[in-house]
Amino acid sequence: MRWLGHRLVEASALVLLALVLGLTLNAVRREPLPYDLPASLLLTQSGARVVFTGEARRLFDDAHFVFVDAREEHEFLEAHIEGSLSLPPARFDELYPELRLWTAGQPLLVYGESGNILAADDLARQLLAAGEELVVILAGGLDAWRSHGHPVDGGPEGLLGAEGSAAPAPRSAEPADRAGGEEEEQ
Amino acid sequence: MTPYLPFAALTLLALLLAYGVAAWAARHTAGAALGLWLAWACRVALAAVFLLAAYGKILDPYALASSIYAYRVVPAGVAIVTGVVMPALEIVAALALLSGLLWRGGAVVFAAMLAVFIAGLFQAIVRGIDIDCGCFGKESSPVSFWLIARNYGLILLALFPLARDVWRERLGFAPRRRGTRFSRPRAAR
Repeated sequence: MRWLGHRLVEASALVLLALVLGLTLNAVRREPLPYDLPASLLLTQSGARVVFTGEARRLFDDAHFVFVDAREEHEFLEAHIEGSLSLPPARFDELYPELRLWTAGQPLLVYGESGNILAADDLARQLLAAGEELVVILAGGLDAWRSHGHPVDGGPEGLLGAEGSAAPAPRSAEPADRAGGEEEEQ
Repeated sequence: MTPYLPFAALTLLALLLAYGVAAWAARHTAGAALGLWLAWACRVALAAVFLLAAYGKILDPYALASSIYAYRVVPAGVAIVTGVVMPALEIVAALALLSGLLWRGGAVVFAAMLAVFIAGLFQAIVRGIDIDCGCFGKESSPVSFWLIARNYGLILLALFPLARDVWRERLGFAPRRRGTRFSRPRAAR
């Protein structure tokens, strides 16, 4: 028993050291993992991983990921992340083929309005079910993106299925052009 | 607390069973050079495995916290702190095993961790939770009985040197230590 007691003291010392080391390491990390992250962000329903604003900005600058807006069209028209495409989960079946033409298998970053990722998670689930390989969700959504001062845009550019929407869409011809081009390749 | 009781019981059972095997092996090699070599091999192998595991996990605490939470044993906050601290603990304990400084503590830490892993894997399989084990960070495999067997092998690596230490004291091969490494009473020297 005495032997076990000594071993437990030694083990506790190591755990304490690791605790200090681990917490310090997280604090000096480029993007520390927040300790108050809600469970819905820690483990999404869709299984897609969550990225934080800093990492999302790097993905934005790399221009490899395509940003997809999971909010309603009228919200998208008001403001969205620069260069993103609009795909409300409710109209997924109708608009997904058009998204495919734009993205051509690129990885996707999905975002919603705020820290509530319900819509984004739903969209991510549908995208993964449709065969997309890599889908990530932006924690904090557009609110967090905007509050960090990252580029936000307004207007109909990037609106998929513009004919069906109530808003005028001057650039709706462009996806159609590209759609034609892609079809020729196939 | 009640839902954790079967979990704790499983952990303890895993430890006791493995200790039985390790103690048997240590008893029969206590006086032999083979035992010494075996103990060192165990320590080095265990440290290597956990350093590898820590390397895969330390770069992405979110993924680790997420896979811990996916076992549905602990709340989100605990999973996050564990995800942040676990790789550091693996490194600290592995260095202890390799350097010899507090190595018994390191072996106890690994044995306890592995017992918890075994219990976690077992409950996930029994409850039918289909998840990745998260054992080595990104290079993960789905939970299965094979992983439990693997952890049992690793737990033996942790317990053999400890059991050897106990037997050598008991059989009089090593000077009996009353205190820890740092507080040995003068009379015993």
